[in-house]
Amino acid sequence: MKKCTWIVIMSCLTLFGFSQTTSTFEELIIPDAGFLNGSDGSGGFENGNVFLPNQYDQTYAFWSGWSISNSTDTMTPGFGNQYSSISGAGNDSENYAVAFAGSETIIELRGEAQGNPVQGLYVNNSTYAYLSMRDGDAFAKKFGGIDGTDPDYFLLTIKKYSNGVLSQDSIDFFLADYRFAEASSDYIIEEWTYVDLTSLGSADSLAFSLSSTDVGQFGMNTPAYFCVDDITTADGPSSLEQINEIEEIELYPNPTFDYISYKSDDFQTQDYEILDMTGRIVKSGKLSGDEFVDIASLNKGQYLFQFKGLRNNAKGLFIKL
Amino acid sequence: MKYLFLFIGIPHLLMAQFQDSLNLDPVLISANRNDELLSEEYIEKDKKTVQFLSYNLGEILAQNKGIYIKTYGPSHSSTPSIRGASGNQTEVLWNGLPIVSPTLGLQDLSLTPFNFFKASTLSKSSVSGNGNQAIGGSIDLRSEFEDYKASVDLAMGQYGVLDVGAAFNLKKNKIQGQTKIIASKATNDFSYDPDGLNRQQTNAATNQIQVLQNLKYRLSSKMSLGIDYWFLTADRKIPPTLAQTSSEAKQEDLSHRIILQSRFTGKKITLNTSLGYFLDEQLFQDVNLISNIKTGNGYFRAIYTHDINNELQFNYSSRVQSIQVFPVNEALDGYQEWRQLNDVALRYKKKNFSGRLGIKKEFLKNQKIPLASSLQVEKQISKLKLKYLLAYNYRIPSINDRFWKPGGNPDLVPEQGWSQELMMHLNFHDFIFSVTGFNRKIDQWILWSPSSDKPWWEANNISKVWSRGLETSLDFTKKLNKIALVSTIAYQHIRSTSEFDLELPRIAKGEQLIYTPAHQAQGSISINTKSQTIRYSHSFMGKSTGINEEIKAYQLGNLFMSHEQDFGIPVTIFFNINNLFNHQYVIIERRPMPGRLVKIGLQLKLN
Repeated sequence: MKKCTWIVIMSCLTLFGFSQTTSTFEELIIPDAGFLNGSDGSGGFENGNVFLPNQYDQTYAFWSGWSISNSTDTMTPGFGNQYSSISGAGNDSENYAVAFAGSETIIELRGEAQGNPVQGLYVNNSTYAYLSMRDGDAFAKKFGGIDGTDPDYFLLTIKKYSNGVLSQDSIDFFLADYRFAEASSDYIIEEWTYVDLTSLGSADSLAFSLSSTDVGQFGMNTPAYFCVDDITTADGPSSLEQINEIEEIELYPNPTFDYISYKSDDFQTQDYEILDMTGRIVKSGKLSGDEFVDIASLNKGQYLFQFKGLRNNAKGLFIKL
Repeated sequence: MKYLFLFIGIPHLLMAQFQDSLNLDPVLISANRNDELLSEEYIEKDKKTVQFLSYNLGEILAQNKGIYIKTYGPSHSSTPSIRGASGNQTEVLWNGLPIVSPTLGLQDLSLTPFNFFKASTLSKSSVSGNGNQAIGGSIDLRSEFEDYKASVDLAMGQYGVLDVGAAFNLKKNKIQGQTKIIASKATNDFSYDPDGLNRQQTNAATNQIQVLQNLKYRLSSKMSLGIDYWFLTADRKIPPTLAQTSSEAKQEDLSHRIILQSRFTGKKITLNTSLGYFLDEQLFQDVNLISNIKTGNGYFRAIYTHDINNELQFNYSSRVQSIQVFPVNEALDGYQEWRQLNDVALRYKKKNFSGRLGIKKEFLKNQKIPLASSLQVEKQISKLKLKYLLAYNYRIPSINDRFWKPGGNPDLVPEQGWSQELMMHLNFHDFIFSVTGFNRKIDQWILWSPSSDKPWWEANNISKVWSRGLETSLDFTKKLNKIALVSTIAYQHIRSTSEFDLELPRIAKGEQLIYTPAHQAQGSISINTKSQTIRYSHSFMGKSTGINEEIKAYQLGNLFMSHEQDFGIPVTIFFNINNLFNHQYVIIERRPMPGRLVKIGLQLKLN
């Protein structure tokens, strides 16, 4: 993950009080075939506050961009099984999105999510790509080579567009990684895995691209597919009333590398929680106003600090560098 | 007919790749049958050695100098690369009619039994008049009647190799008939160890049955009629690559090919007509994937030859071709097109000089096909023979190139360009020295590559390729009492490079094309008596590049022995060790080839 610029960090500071929407795709009705591939000419799929573009060629019955699927086939290799995730379902759900990312593939942010940060999403391998990397096929290699020592990887790179400009910052997520010294550490992602996107900052759209070590004269051999689910967007302040009800506490230092504290005259010991931008509690404990909280173990990104109990509504945002 | 024996006991380039190629009988390449183009070489089998029906054309041509046979494994798909050209740039004809698939643009040489055809010619040149995709040379298989009554072949080898063949010839009054049958199978479950990991080939079994029937009826001394029928069925499993743990892929091929022929021979004119129909079907299956292609190819061809005088001959040929694609594949709609080809040639021959000037024009709707032409001259000066060829030729894009969904491009134009070659043959004492230089530039080279703005591959005229090189050989033949000693050494240097920088495929200007070894060499020595043959051959194939990785150079040694015994019926037995030194190698990247391979066989022949 590359460093966010200072400008992005500063813009993140204004996130306090944002509501969230998660695109689960469960509302989309999928026919018996098990997928929506844009053959109806819809041009894409809108769910929550995101839009997943789809290009469908009626002449050749060929799609690119995104499809929506509930296919459960985790066994069949090859192109014919291009709509399945390797877990055979969504992230604790039925529906999910499948990307064919032969070139850059976009997710557009819409409504209140546009111009705001995306919290994160869940990513998984498609069955097609997973089995190709695990076993090889007529075109692509078995990852690691036959003896398992080749330092292969399959990398998903996520960037953002903001005001039409593609960011240089990116988040890298390895869908497969065989570069470890210990072969037992090599892996191909086969479960839905959360990817935190908060460090990208405010965005109008997300750009996804794939790269692989299995590259020939004609480009990447690894099937250019991956799956996503539960895209959580920060949709801006939910309402003025809500904001007014929240007591803002001033956290310092902010941004910070190792620790965080808050400025208050109240030294009463209170329970606190630190949440990531998907709402998951990543740290909790008790402290009083003159103590520091060690946050060195947290991943880089934006977090919400909040008190429980007496000051349940006291919250503050901070950036972990 | 004056044969020039260029090779005797030809080396066995790439022999180890075939389970039944095992040091075939020496192949004689003799130049210039009177009725053929100057640049053609007449491929003839040495009658003293075993001629098993199951030997396929790929195996035979793999022994030839300057031809690189790309094969996926024993009995699996084989295509030629002549002087740096691709497989779909070489025309393969049966009795003068193209048998290459109009959709793929390829003929699988592993499904073409060489000994079905008594007389066959090879042209490495881009001459006109050899079908419509001969910019990378042409091969013409001729059905002619054998001079024996019957033969029975049986051969067995490692990895389940079993070849059975039979041939029958009947001649009675005005009717002559010939039947040839082969049945071959192999498990091909050989072990291989290219990377220090001993593994065994799986899902590689092959089966094929082929039948050839020729009938000829002589109406009069001037007029004859003939029917030729060729049936093929093959079932081949496709093994995994070196980067794949297993495979369930398989391919089935089915063909019915029939040609009706008539021949009129007058005092100064001859008129040959052919009416042919070739029905070919190919079914490829893998897990969750089925691809079927079925085509019907209809031909009518007439060739008129007029001997103007003893020195000058005029030829005119016209061919109408109907190509029909049956709608059995979602990626290829039902389709039919008509082509019409006219070819005019003048031949001149006087004493030690001969020449040919040819012009060819073909018509196809929505295709702008250039005028093709060729000039060939040949001069014999004492023991030195010189030949020169200048030609402009083209290749019409295949049906798949134009109409495959997605990616086919109807706007493709034919590949086309000039080629030249200069040959010199010097015969002195027991030696024949031969050197050929060639130069060929093909524009509008068609390549399939990932599209820049679409999510699929598409065909485009994206390159210009310059091929040039040198082919040399030195042959030695010496008879000592009842022993004949034959040896040859040969070397070829081929440069075939892109004239442009390409992004996909990633080829820099001046970079050698994939699967084009720059250096090839062969050597062989054989000792022949009346009834015995022992021969050792050695070949070297230089390194080349594949799509993903380098193809390492390799050397193969082959040993062949045969003995003929007359038990009332002549019986020939043979013993063959292919890839004697058990070298681990690949020809197509990630496709392992077998190591040492032993095969024995016998042939009964009733003359």
